[in-house]
Amino acid sequence: MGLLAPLFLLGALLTAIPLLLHLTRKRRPPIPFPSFLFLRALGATARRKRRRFRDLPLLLLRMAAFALLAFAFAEPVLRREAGASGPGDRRDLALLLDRSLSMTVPGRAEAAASAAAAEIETLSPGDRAVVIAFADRAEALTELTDDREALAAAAASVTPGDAGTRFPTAFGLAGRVLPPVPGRRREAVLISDLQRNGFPEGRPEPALPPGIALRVRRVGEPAGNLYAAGVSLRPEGADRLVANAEARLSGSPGETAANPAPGAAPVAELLLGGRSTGAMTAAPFAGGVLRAESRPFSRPAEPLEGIVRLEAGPEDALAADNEFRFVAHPGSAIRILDLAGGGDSIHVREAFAVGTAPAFVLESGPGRGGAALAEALRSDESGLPTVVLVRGLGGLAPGAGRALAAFVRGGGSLLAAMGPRRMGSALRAELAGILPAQPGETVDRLPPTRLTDFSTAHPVLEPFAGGHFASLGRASFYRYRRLDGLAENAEVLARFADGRPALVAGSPPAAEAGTAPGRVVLFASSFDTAWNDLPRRPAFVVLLHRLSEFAADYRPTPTAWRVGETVDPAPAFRLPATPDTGEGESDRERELLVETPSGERRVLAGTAALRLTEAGFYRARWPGETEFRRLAANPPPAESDLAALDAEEVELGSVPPVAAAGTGPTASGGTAAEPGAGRPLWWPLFAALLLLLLAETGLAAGGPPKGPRSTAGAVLPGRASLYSPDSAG
Amino acid sequence: MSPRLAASGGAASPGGAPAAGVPRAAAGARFLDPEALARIANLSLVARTVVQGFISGLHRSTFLGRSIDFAEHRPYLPGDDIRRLDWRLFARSDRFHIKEFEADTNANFLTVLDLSASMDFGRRGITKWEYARILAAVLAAFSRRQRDRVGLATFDRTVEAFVPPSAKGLETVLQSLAAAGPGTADPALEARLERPLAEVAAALGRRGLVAVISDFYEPPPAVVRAFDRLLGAGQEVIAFCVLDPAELDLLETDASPDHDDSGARFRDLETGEVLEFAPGRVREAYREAMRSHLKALRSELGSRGVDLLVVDTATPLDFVLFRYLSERESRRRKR
Repeated sequence: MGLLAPLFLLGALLTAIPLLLHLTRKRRPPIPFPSFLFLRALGATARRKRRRFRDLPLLLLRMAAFALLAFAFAEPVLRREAGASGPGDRRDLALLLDRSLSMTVPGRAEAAASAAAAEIETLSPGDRAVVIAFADRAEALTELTDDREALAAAAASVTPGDAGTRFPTAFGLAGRVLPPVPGRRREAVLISDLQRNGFPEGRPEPALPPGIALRVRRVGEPAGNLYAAGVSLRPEGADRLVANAEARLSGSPGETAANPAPGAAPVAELLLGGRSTGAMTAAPFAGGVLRAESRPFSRPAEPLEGIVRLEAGPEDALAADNEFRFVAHPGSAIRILDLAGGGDSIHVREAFAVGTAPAFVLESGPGRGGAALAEALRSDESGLPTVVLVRGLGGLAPGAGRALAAFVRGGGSLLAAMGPRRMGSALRAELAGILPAQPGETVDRLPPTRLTDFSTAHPVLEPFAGGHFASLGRASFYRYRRLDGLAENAEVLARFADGRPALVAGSPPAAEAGTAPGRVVLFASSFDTAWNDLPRRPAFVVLLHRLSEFAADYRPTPTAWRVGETVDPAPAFRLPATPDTGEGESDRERELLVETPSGERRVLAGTAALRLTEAGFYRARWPGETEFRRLAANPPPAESDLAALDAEEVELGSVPPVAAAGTGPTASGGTAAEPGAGRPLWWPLFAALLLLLLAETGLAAGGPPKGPRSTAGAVLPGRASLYSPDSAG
Repeated sequence: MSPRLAASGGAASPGGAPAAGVPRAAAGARFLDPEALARIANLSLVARTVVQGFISGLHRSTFLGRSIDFAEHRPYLPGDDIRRLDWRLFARSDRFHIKEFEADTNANFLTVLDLSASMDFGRRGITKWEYARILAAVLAAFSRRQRDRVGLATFDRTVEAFVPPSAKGLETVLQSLAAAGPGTADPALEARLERPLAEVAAALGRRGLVAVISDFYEPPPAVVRAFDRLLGAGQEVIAFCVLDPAELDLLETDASPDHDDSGARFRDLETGEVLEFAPGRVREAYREAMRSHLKALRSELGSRGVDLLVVDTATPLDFVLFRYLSERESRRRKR
């Protein structure tokens, strides 16, 4: 028996109310009597008898009702006590040992080991147990056995890892390894720090199968924790990057507890390739969040390992999450080569100045001359995917079309807007086969037209689904250039209200086998405010980013992953797509060599996914290659929040209700569901209370009459003798 | 008005057999419920109803006076003495009539009614005062029917109203009774019977019959002293002690069990004194004291030739009238 809200028992003091009411007598007017002639002579006492309770049965009923009400509000629950007799004398026990990252808090792992050993010691002859270690996944370390030594050894081998906590997985496995056996009762003992984030939405859920009683042994206490929450890379110019780190505090002690020097920010240090680049510039804590910025460093030509390390105080409970690992890839930005047709555009410049994933590196083109353009496109050494932005396609100089055509056929991307100048026949000939549509004459619209028909299913326009960035549809277009002669593979992404294409995308056919041409996107209007007011609208930034990413075929790859995630190795490691094996095998048909942070080497089939189980840098390469590609894995941020649940709350919340148990698998007794732990007694108590009130009503209404009894037809004993002449005389 | 069989007030046993002390003539007679009578405002009607009902119920009337003065004729009723048949009237009308005569002498009949506060008590729907008032009216009406001169005196601390006996005084008596009411409590009151009775004795010039209706809540010597004033004036006195059943048994049938056992507060109607006691704890002693009181009164007054009739408010009035007549007749024979 337990109480969920024991403070409501104070409500039992209400029983004093009927006590006082029944003790109190109403001051009634005195009863008239003809004469005290005889009473005075008899010395009738004026003393009253000791104060007594009136209507004792009624009083007891009312007091019981109040007491029952208080007891019901205290929410009593019936749960099985450890060692209580159950359907059978023998038990099958599942020891659920938490090995998540939070168990690395000093003292927790040791306490868990001691608790596990103590539980194993309580096993009686005939009892069986199984050791299950769990973090985000659960693993049975032994079979269901009565071998205490094996169980103790398995429990002692459990060490905390880097994964997060998921209690439901442990409960699910416990249900599978503890099948119902007649004559044996099933029990699970959870030994954990009971992190709140171990349950979905932070609340216990009835994940334990019916028929299994749960006991919880909590280890450790809630503590404050400082952890590195994430790192983002921001381009600083064309070839430099800046790392922005974010650190957070969690738990009760607050900022000062985890802070090495109260009032000062903790020291954050950036390491690149294993070498320190010095302390980062940190701002003071604000709202439990610390932001630090590194000095600019050169954009790496190859994937580069980076670590942001926090130096927290000794009161920081969890040290393992003070580092955040990431990999800086060369291609995490898109180079925009701006061939401005009408001069600099503040709208375009500002639009590309924002964004980190990807970042945009805006460069001005060398001019509109063909030779210079061809040279600029060939001499790019940044390694970044390049999108050539042409504002005013008709303004290109002769020869530039040829350079662009070669660039696109070689895999480059072209994003072109129309301008006041009409394409000449020479330029049209140079770009023949490259453009998905042929720009024609200008069309003036007054009143202006709008973009009305655009497919939000396309990656470019996906952000505008559901009414977001509605300003795209409200942009006014006064002039545009007709896009006619759509190519076979051209795709119209958006149209004007009059039905003419506004955005057309396509790719030229491959000129030769083994080469993949780039994408070309044509915008029928301009990227400045000469022909429309789109650049003044917020949707312009999103549209320009999406057009650039689509043109560059940009696929976002995180700089860091989380332990517990499952990744597709090839894109996650940014492995070369077409390794030269000479055997004609595709990626999916080849094996991949993966090295975990702890140094373990695995060979994965090309189709296999990689589950990240450790924090650190994973490395991978195709067989035959010497260069490893890297992937950074960090502990899940939820694990850094050390807020914990109450043991009783977990015990009660993890067991399914009795009604559910009754419809589930039969309990260990094999006959019916066991009386479940946490069975609420709330409603039975209120039913009893209702009966009490009914009884009280009946008793109060049917009490003895207070008025005088009738004397009709009765001869009162002794009265006749008072005035009878015979007796008196 | 609903006559009912007398089964209360000690007149008869529950089985209908005559109780001890009840004259035989009362057996089988129909009596009137005092509570029902008390609900009738017209006192004259009440008195006439009781008296007529009472007379018609008498099968062997021996109480009408016999004298040489013719009074009236009445139809013959079975049981009448055939020697009193008026044969001459029979010869003329071919119907039997009884010839009645005036009593030998017309006597004075004075009802002395106690208006003290203790009379304003009743736990059965009728107070002692209401009962006594009706009783006084009935006695006056009956006496007037006997050709007596009737009068009335009411008193509390002193005589409140006095109607001298006269042959035409019945209506005045009834009006005085209707106007009278019980008195109020007086903490300083001690003996209250002697003074008014002395005043009545002084006011009566002619010898006659005096009926004193009271609860006689005074020590017997004080009551005797008061009666001595009347007796000394040559009056023939009969005393009606009117009591409520609840004061006879000390609220045994009225008090709630809680009061009876744990006590309650009571107020003396005579003095206003409030006393707290448990009736159940003193009931037996109270009964004994009451019994001794009545016994002493009966003994002392009896030795002086005064009959004491103790009636409770549940006793039918016509039954009381019957007892009164019995007492009066026996007194006449003794003389």
